[in-house]
Amino acid sequence: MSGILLAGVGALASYQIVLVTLVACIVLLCVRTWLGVMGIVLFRRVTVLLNISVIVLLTSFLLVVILRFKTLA
Amino acid sequence: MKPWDLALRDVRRLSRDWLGSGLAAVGMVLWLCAIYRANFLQMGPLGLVSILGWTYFVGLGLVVVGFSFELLHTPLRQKRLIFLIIALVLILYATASAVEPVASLPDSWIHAGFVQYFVQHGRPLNSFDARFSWPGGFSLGAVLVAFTGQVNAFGFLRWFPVAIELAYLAPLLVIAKFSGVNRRAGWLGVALYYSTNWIYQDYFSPQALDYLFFLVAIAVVLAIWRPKRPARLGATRGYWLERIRQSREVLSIARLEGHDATTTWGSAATLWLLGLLGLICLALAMSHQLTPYALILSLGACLATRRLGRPELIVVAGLLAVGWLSLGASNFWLGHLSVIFGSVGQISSTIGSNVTSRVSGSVSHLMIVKVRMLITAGLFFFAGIGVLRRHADSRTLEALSVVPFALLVAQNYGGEGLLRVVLYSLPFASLLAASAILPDTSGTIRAFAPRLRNGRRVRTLLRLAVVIVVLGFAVVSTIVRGGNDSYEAFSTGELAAVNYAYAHVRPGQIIGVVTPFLPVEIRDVGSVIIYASSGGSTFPTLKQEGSMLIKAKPAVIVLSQSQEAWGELIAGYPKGWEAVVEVDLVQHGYRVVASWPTATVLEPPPSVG
Repeated sequence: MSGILLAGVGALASYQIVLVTLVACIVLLCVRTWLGVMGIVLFRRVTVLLNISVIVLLTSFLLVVILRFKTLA
Repeated sequence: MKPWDLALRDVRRLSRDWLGSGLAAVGMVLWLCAIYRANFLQMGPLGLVSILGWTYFVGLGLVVVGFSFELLHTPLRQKRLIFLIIALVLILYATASAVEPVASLPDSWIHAGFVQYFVQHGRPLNSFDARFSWPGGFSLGAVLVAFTGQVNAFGFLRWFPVAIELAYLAPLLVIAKFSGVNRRAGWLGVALYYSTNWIYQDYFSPQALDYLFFLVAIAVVLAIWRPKRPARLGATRGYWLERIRQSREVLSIARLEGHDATTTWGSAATLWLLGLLGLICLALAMSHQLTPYALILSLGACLATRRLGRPELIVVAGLLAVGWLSLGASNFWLGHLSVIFGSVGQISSTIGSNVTSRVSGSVSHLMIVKVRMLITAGLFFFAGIGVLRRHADSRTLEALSVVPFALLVAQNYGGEGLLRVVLYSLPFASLLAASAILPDTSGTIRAFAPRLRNGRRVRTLLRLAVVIVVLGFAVVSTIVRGGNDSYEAFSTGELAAVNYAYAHVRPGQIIGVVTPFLPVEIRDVGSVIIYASSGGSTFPTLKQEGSMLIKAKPAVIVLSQSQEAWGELIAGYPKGWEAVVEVDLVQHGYRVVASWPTATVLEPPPSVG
């Protein structure tokens, strides 16, 4: 975690954080879709890891969005 | 058989073959006569219908009768049905554009003004209007203006409603084909959609474009994925126990992961289409406030009813919508977050602001508003009968008809939420309503109602039912759709008066009007201010109108026929009230500087100006 993030909770509401979380989440979802449509079967452990990453990123995105609403509004 | 008997038989066969198209062709000629004879300046309080003669309704009737003949013809002739649907669309949606001299609805002119701002500045105007925070549609409009070599978007406004309604036809036909209803019910559903869509969200606006995207997205999803057949149905446990078990599977992991939907499409084609859907979601997210969420709910309905195989699409659509709200639309919510979240959960106040507040005004306006509610209730009543009568493989149409109403829990959308929700539900409710007349007789999910026995004259009765229902809805739709046109449609004089006003004000100065039912904000957005003395939800007394206008110190004041009609129908002012305001202004030193038969422009005395 960088020094900027540690500087204050409000820093988490910056547009960069929201954008990076959003893009990361969409990229993982695209990978998941591609695997599903192409019928590529991964090791179960990798699939679980992918799903957990999506859930974590999705939760992080929602949290930073709520934080952004609370901080800026 | 004698030669003339043969010839007579041929003539009969030929006339039966071409009866539907022939009736429609005669109907179109009568419709053109109605347009030719309509005089816009004679429009009464009932709006558009007050200037349409009997030829319009006979023409509409012939097209609907022709449609019913063609719909029940064996074999089904799709090209002729498309011709008949296009004829119906032209009659219902091109009449106002053809009869009214300039585009109606102030909002379409405001949107043209916003597009003009994009053309001139290449960026949105922040903190001016909420709509600038979702600039996708306006930006595309600016590209279109530049691409076609126009100086502004005014040329697109007048015929936009009919053009976009015709654009809706392609996705609607795909939805009808893949929705699970039989082919005839599909065509009837499309006709019912056009006959009941009085909502008038097809004017030059981002929401009209986004509605096209919405329909395309749902059409693509329904075309790609089909419901997997349930493992077992109606087995030893009994029909209802089995149905309850299957309903519980809506929330199973397999269903939520999209495993209950199947496709015959290749993986490359599916990936390309998913990419296209992702782009559509992105375009929706940055173009309109409500449509992205309607799409998310509708995709959720498709997933729950085994018609979507990739749940990631819903999550991506949600991420893009919320992401744009958080990042792109921050100018809108900074400082007033309550506009977005203030009405969450307040359903009764949302319904109140959407229904009760609209039921006001003169007797003729009240009639229009009440008939609008009745036509919508009528369609949903038929849809309910359709749900009871049809066999199906999945309940996708039912879910798609219902889920948009969940939007009302989150937003009242400035008192327009219910209208929009009905619009998102309409294509699917129309197909269900069509199933009330032409229900499916096969499918793994059995109908609730027992099947009616087909009598000897079943085809004639069905034809009659189609004519009564479609024609009934189409006639009522004509009346209510143009019901506000007496104050929402404008003459060339009114447009000239507004142009005159803009030509005689400087940046920072004010154009005064009683009510913004005029083609205002068509240029100089953000630099010339429009002041409306009756711009709020409560109306001042007639005496206050003049003094409020004077107090605002406008550089010019525009009085017009549309404002006069608005005052009589909505604000309850007496007939000729505008003359009273004009006399009041003249007594305070204002002078008439330009006038047309339908509009007057006044300027203040030099000391005020």
